Amino acid sequence: MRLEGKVAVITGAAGDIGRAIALRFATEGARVVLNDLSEGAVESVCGTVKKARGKALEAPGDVSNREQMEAIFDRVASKWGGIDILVFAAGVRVDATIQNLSAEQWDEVMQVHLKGSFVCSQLAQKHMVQQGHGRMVSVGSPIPAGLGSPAQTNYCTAHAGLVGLTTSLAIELGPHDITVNCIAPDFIDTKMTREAARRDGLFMDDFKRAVLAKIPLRRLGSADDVAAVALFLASDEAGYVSGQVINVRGGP
Amino acid sequence: MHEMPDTEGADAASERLWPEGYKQRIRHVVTQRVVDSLSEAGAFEQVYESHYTAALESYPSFVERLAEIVTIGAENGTDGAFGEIHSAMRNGRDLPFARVRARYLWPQPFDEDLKTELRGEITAEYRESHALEHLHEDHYLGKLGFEDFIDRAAKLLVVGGINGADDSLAAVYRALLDGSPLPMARRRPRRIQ
Repeated sequence: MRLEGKVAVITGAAGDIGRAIALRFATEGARVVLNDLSEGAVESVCGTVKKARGKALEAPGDVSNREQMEAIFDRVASKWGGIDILVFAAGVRVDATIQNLSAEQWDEVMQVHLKGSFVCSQLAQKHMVQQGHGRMVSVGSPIPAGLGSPAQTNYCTAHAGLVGLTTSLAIELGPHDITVNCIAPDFIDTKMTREAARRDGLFMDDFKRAVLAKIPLRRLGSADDVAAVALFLASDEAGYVSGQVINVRGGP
Repeated sequence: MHEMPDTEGADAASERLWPEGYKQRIRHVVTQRVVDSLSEAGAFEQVYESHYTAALESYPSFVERLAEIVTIGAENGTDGAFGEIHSAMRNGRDLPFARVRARYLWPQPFDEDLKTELRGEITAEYRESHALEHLHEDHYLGKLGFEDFIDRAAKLLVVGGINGADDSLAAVYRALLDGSPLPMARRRPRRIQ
């Protein structure tokens, strides 16, 4: 058991990647705190974790709402005695070309990705610093850092910001034995990717065929592929890896 | 406006400075410990010869300058911690928690004896402070006894000092690695009660 007894807060736990991470962590002995916007979705993931004999706590809430998240972190700390791991997997895509992108669409993505990761890491570090150890793992956008993508100004900007947050926090929190890393998955077979393909007017099968030509491993990544990397970064084995953006994209 | 008396001189004369005796202790002990450690180990002598002979006339003066930078960092670190405490008090927030680091850089001039001694000095000083007593009454009465309050504040100040020294050491070492100018170090003005 690589995470025996650890307490892990996982945001975006109802998404494909968040759910896979929650399940993987729970099977490795972690007590998982499941956060997402929808109460029903969180309840469903919680049921799945518990069915697999994992220990889970439902914690629905908006990652960008400081009061809600503070209440969650305090509840977890008082119930389970601390917070060892934060996985920030909350994400949203609101694609639009620059001439059509509204301020609200811009804000929505920034609120979830940037304000949310800031709020959650600030709350988590409070507990981690007091414990003298901690692991933070964020799941960035499925766009390689430094590259843009049409109609995703908000999403790409948020991801670039997440990389900056990761690096800065790694430097600032390193003396407290807290590592901070970011996973950057590329084409992962998730509901979000399927919706994006549909928005682009592509059937998923056609999308896959086209995308596979770009991936040396000739398969789409799965949420479990991402969860495996998250597990490593959250484990004791990754104690000397910090401030990194780990691409999970089936190739260089 | 023309008839307003000029009270600047009287005001200045009536200003009471914080005693801050613990800073004298830091200044004495931390400086000496850093000097001793660096001198004993002959640490960074080669670096001095390669990069800093023009700026500082001898290796001992180089070591003294490094120790002074670290000491100033420690003193300013206590001020930073006090600033956080004060801000929490003014805004009625809980006192901040002590951000003890998991690892500190060599030579770690604060040992347990010094920490205990400093905490004792700070609590003795704060115990006499009416300003802190009033702040405690206004914001923490019923939540935290005055003795616990000043003890926690003292602990925060000591950790602030240790972290300040550690930050300064980090800045010094970064400079030494590439022979760049030593970091600036300036004491903050003394606080007024």
